[in-house]
Amino acid sequence: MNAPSVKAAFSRRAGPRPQSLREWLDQRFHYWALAPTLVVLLALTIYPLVQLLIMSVSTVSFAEGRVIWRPSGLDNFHTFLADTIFPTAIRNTVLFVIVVVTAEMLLGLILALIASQVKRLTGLLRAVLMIPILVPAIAIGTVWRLLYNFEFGVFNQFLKAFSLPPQNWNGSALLALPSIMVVDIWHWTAFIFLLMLAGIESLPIEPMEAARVDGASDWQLLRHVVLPLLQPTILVTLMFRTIFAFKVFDEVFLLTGGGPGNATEVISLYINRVFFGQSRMGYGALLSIITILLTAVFVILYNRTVRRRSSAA
Amino acid sequence: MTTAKKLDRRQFLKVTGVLSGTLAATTLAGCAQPQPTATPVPPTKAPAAPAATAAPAATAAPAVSTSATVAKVDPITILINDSPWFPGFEKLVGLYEEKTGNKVNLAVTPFTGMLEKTRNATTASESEYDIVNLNEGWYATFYAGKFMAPLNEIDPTLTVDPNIIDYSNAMRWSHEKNYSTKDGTLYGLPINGNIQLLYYRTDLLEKAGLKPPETWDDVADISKKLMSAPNLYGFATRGQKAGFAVAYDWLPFLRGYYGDWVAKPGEDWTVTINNDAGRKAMKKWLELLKTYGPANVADVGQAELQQLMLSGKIVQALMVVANWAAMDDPEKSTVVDKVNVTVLPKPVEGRHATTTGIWVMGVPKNLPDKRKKAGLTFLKWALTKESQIEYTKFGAVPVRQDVYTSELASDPKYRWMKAMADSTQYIVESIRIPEGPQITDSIELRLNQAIAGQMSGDEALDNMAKEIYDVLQKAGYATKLG
Repeated sequence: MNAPSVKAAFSRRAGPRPQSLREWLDQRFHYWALAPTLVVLLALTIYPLVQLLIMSVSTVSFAEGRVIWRPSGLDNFHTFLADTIFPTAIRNTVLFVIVVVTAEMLLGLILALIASQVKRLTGLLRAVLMIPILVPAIAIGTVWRLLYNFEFGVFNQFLKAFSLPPQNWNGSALLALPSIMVVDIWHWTAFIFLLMLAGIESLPIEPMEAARVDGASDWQLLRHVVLPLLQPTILVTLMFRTIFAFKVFDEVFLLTGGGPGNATEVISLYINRVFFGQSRMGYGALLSIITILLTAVFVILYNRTVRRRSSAA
Repeated sequence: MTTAKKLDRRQFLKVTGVLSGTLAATTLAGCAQPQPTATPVPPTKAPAAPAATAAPAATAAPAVSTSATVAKVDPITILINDSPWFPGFEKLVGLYEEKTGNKVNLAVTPFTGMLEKTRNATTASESEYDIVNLNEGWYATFYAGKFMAPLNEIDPTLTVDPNIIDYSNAMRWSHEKNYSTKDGTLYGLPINGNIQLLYYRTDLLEKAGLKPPETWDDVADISKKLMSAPNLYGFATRGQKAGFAVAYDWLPFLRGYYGDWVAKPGEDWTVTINNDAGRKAMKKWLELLKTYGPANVADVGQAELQQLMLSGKIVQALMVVANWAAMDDPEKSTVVDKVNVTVLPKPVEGRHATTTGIWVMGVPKNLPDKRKKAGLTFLKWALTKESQIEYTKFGAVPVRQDVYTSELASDPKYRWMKAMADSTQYIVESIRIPEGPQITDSIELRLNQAIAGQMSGDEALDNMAKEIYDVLQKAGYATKLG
């Protein structure tokens, strides 16, 4: 049902003034039908968000055997303005998102294009490529921490075999963030690959055959037929992956803990430390609100850009 | 004949809608945030318990009963973390059940979730746990916030056996001084006596005719003579930023030079971390780590440091006693019977100091009396000498001095116990105020930056001082920069 017909269906309900409760309920049926969804939304999204907002202008303390909320006005905001770590965390997070999402999108797309052309052992290929997303984050952290180990890690053993000096992968300010990026790319490229492959496999065959008949080369076919047709999949995947990457936590927590210094401090890790480690719930809530706003701004700008491009096309 | 009336789809949705609306209203009303308030809770009726929080007299009756006299109590639930010493505790609980017939449920949880679970339990209308295990970094919050039951309110006759090590008043909290003091209220009992020791390679020292180090300069001398990097490092502590890792390992240096993070915790809150003592401590620590430690020391955490020792790649290391269990385990260690421990070294003109990293068990305040008594019954039993001896045999770290000086200590398997016994007198508390985690985060970050070469030691200290001052000042302590 398209939008005007929905409107028409709803407007049909607006009749003469109800004469009984039964009639009144009946006339407003469409509202009651929405109620279950609204309840879930209120209980699981709106209510916690409102609580978070209240918390962000409060000081929460644990005293006298209970939790005490005190309104603190703009105190938390002043703390935020003086905070030197949060801007570093934002910078690191943005850098992380740009690098890993770009790399994962490219690699995922390339792998999907290759896999879509492979005729033999496709099941095996897909199963192997899926392995990283099946491994729990804690196992990934442990395995990669061992791989990066300065004394015994595979990478440094490899360097030593070629008489190269071992590298301080997680402990050097220069290498620590790139080291985490590598792990993330390894972990999430499989996710992009799966979505892209599903997108490619659902593309209509006719335009491609027509392009071939017209003498299009492989590159022309990809550039002018496959990629434009795949654009909706690419855009949705890009948006979701960007949002997920913005929330990176476990890999950083397990590999470097945000160090050395603040070289790998990211937003989620910092909020976790403030909220749970330091028990500064009010300030932690404010940082969470700011993070939500940043993500919302990204989603709005992204949607606007996509819409503008679509209408231009 | 009755006919079941069939609900059509529309009626069903209507009913669901009405019910959902009602449910939503009820839920939101039930979850409504209490009015933010600064007003303290009206004082509850004080129980007629004596203020039996004075320091135990040397003649005090044992705090614990023998197993034969343990009362029959209801089953209890203990919230406990799955740390390396947990298997020992689990066996101790098994022994308790076997000897007394009382039942214990263990709510085992990873360390990461412990604080939240404890907080949820102690702020609920009634705690689901009868005993909670409190970490060195948290118990100040739970004591100061009155979330734990004063143990003398549960049992007015309870006194703490002088053989139970007090870990610099870790069991007590003075609400007047806002610090753990000798005359504070008794809120918890220690269950894991983790402190720092110096681990060293006996085989290498003996071969070179060297004695175990007494001072940090001895550590440097031994390192200089035996080090052969990158195959064998001289000395290391943790350098990694990880909650309370590098800061915890640095504190013995600071205290060794008679310094501290404030002039006198609990009495004088002047920030002194960057005074002469602090600078000397920083200089010595950096010198030892940068000269004799592994090149990646800024990324060395607990696991890496233990690995270095177990794989025979380091001569000396500052580690907690909890690391000992793996040293003589042939499946994990290449240095079985080649490692020993001693009291942490001191500066040549300083003092020995070792920092508490213990766990304390407390009984939540929000429990009915019967449950509180059941919880305390277990704790009293667990701290008897006989229980603690078994606890040691199970692989845990006991908390009684008479266990450390018992016959068990002469068994080579338990050779670590002598260093523990000798270290008791040098125990200094970690940063034990509710704002402690904020302060340790600052020290942790700045030390990590100093060892990673991102700032000088002096800069790191000055940053720490300013940040500690800000935290204290904001929390209302009478503080100033020293």
